[in-house]
Amino acid sequence: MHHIELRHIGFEYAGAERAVVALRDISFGVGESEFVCVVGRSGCGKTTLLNIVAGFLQPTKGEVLIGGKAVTGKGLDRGIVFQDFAQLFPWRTAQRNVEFGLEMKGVTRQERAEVARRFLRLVDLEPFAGAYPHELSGGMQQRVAIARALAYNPSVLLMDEPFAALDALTRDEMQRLLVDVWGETRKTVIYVTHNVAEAVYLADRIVILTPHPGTVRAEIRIPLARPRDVLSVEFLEYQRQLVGHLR
Amino acid sequence: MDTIVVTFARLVARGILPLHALSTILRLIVGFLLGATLGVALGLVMGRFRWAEDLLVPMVSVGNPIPGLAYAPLFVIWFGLGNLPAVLLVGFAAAFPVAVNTWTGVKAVKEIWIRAAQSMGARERQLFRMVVLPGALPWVLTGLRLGLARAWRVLVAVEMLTSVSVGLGWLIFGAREFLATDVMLAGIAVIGLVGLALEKLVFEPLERFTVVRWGMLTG
Repeated sequence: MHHIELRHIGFEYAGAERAVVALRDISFGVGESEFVCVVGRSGCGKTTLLNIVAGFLQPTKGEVLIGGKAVTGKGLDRGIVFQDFAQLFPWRTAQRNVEFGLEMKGVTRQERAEVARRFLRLVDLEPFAGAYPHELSGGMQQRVAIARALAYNPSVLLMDEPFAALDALTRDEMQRLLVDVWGETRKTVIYVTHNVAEAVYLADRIVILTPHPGTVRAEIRIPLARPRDVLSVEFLEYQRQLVGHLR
Repeated sequence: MDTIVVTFARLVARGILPLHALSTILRLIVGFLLGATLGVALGLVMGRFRWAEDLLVPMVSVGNPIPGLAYAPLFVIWFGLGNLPAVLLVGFAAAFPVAVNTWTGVKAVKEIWIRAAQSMGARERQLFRMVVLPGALPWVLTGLRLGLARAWRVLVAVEMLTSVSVGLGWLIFGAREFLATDVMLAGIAVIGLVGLALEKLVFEPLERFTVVRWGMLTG
């Protein structure tokens, strides 16, 4: 039994003349604590797919199961990190941003502060707990967003190209940090990206989508031990394989 | 110039200017608070409920460009002379820009904040209080500032029309009888000073403490 099950997901939206099929018959599962990357060109519907799992969109066909239960909307069992740095609330400090989900759950102030501190420490930002988002760099803001999505303890973490807008060096650093955070929290992760090296670095398994309409082209399992050596022959071989599928 | 300064000093020393200024400022504060409350409430309702938007936005949009002073005779007929029509008209005139800007602010709240909050379990009410309100604040402050400017303008003029017994507008208007241009100019100077003081002592600190500190507005 998979932790997340996508069953024959289809999604259509009304176009100018007729309905456009964005996703067709997408099925795959994600195991408990598994890290799955969904890779595809822009416009292949990968963000749409993530929004369906997140509960922002209702699929026109099929269903998503999490822990055996059908997803009907947004829920605290899923944490979400977006690409846009603006996802943080500018009127709250880093710590208060991380506390938001706990506040919604009705957790006491003191406990909230403790949990928020712990997750800020996890992403190496504890000294910046009192800083406002605009005082932080892009990479730091995304780390706060990760801490925020984890703090209320969802079992699933959904990530939509969270590092795509960062410079290459920061991105490498963030990927290493994410692997550590995932190793420590053991969340089930669906991570959407178009970056081939990023997918091979992060994923246990890669699901490749092709566009018009979005369908699953192939799945690749990456059994390499972590931390992964990005210059090893095997690593490059997996990248080559992935690029082959994307052509 | 010298005459004005001397007159200014004389009027201050005799307590005439402070008296008039104080009563005008009181009217301004009461009227503006009335208008600000009404405007923010209207703007929030328009931003939040579709029916209110459909119903009220056209009305507010038509009313907004009309100078508040155009209503002065109506208010005099409805509410008589003295303080009441003056204060009500000030509130009425100030409410429009506040409402329009608050509504725009609610509409301009970033979709991604809403999504992030919803994904963390925020319900409708929490979303409104903890995301929409602070998210709309820069616009609300702009609206309040415009509303205050409008309130000021209407008030000084309306004091000339509704026969209040004391006030800066009345002082300036009354000085006309004696061709006392120095008194008029002294009154005008006070109006300018009060406006400046409100900006520096109320709005700037308010902004520094909120939207500037949050990086939503560069200070």
